[in-house]
Amino acid sequence: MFSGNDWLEIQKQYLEAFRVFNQFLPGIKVKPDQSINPVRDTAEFWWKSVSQNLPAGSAEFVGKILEQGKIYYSLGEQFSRLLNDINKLDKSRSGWESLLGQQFEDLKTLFSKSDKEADETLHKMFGAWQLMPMDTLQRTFSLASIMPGDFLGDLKRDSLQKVTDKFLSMPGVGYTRESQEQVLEGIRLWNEYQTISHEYNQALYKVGIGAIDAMRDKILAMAKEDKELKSLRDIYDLWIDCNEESYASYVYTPEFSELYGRLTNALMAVKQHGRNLVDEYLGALNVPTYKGINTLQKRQYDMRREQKTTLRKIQDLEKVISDLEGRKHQATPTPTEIRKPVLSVVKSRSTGKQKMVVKNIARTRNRNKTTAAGKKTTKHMKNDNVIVIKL
Amino acid sequence: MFPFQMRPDEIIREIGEFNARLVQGVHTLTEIGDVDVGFSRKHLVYQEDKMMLYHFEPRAEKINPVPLLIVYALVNRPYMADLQDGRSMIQGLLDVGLDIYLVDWGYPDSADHFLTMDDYINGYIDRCVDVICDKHKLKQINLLGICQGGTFCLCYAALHPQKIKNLITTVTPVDFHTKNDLLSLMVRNIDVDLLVDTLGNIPGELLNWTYLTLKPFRLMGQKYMDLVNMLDDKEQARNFMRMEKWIFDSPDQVGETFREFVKQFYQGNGLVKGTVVIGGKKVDLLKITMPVLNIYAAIDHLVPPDSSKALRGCVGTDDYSEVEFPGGHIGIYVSSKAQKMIPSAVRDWLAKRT
Repeated sequence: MFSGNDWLEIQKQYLEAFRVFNQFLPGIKVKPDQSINPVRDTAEFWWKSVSQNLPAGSAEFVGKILEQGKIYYSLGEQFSRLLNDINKLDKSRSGWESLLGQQFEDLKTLFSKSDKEADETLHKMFGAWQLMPMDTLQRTFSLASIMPGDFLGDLKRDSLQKVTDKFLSMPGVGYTRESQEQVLEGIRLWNEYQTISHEYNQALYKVGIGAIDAMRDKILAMAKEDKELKSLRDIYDLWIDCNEESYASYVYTPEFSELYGRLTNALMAVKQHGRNLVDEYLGALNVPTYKGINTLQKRQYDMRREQKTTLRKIQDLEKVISDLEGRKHQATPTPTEIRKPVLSVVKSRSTGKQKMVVKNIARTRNRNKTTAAGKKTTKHMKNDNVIVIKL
Repeated sequence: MFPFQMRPDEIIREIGEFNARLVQGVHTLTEIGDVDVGFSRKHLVYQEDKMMLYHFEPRAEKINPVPLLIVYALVNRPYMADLQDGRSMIQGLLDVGLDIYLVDWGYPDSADHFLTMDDYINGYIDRCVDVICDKHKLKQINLLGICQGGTFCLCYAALHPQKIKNLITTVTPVDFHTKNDLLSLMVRNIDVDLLVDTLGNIPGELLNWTYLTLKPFRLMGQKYMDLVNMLDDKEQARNFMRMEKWIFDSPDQVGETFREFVKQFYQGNGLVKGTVVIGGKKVDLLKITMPVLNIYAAIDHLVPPDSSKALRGCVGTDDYSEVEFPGGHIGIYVSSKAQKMIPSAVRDWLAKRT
């Protein structure tokens, strides 16, 4: 295995070469070809060697660190050059400021290029730009896609544009008219998404330019305030601050919110259309479809919810019954509290007829105690749970 | 003054040092093994579908007689409140004599995607409250919500005020339209119906990345550079990995609940407007008449302090208190500062109201 010590040794050699190399290139400008950074290349080689022996979680983790390391290396490279150039000057204010300005202008030029080399260089410098929401949305939705791999990423706007106009102008004809129209609709949706995606990338491009400008301005302001950058890490932290500030100045606006919404909606429309198409094919093959499974899940959910509601009602009723029984057992039965209905047969004094009376003894006794007149008592008793059945 | 006080060779030396630390860090990572999360001892006391209700073993002699139910958010996992020994809000609350229960929502899958906020609030939470009330023979318990869980607790307390003795919200969004709420801006113009109808459940990974893109350069970059400086210390590396595990341990979001939450809360700002409807019933925060303690973080980038502080003018209670924690959204649970501040504040506040 290629060990860490081996790498450090090789790195030392590379660094030496880098330093010597740099001494002979005082006027070097930023160029798209960044392969002259030996540290980054060696680090990458080392990483490929050791990452296989790390646990999966740790490997991913160190991979992230190394990604940041690459930015660190690139910043180191950029500023080493700048300092080399500045060392040739007398460090008078206008001299170094002009060089600094030129350095940042070169970076902006590079940022505006869309070719692959410029993309790679910018990735090394900006790092997190590759992880911006745009990429996140695509990656995540691709993960959730029924299509294998990042199929969205493989469709490029430039090449697609050439064929979309032709396709979209063709009317659907014949027996397969409907499916032709579905394909055309898919292309139209994809085209729409790509247009918005381009708009979004342009907006982020402005944020990137803003970060470069902010970095230059901050360095110039530091000079005025007699502040110092003492290490590469200071430069890196300043670079992060500038990127965050520029990013924040854009994303906290209604314009960003509106564009982000349109972008997500356009991507969802593409995905939903694709899913519906696949569903149709699956249906034709008599394979369960997304729509069908959705219906099943909804029915199952409704049944389960109903079952839970019923169960809860039963539990509530059981509790009520249990409470009532508990109250019955806990209560001390005194004569005045006895509520048990009593069935008895009484004979009317006036008519001599027998009556069956269901009455509460306690209440009857109470009434008998408090009331002297029999007629009045009877009236009260009728109002108080006394049922009189004429025989 | 010329601001660059360094020479090119010093830059190269710094890179060399960085690389050496990186190599050392890789050795450290190979040696620390798996990281464990969730420190305090607990028992499962109730389970329904994927939801689990845990009861923590007490750690103090004198226990507050009214149990405290902690409701976590649907986002990420609740072990953040009990990350490790010495970095655990739950451990702190147990140490100050509180009787703690915790709702764990589990990992929903596609079969759960029709669950609504009604199911979560009037279903799961309500049944958990009933289970605890039955167990302790009480009619009311104390409730503590974390982040989105706090919003759920507000809804629950408004719909079932008779069951809650005291309500505590922590880093809880209330006003979803404060000007510095980036999450709110990001979802404001999204067609949530289209999103949920297309995806079903919302992938946890999408949420992870959305949170990271709130501060992409710090959270996806600078943080790892800082780590290089501490990788030679195994314990520090383990702590970092533990937090990293939590950040990316993100369950999918149940589609229908996500739809309701985004539309009614994030887009409609219904909690402060009084337009939220759950299970056919309007959520009226004025019905929250029990004492309320609202804890928020001063530098919270996920739930801006203003969003939490909006609660003051919305609830119906006369007994409303606020605690400002001088930290961020996660620091309020895991930082050493929080361990000293939050549990004792909760204990003292509850003690006066029990």
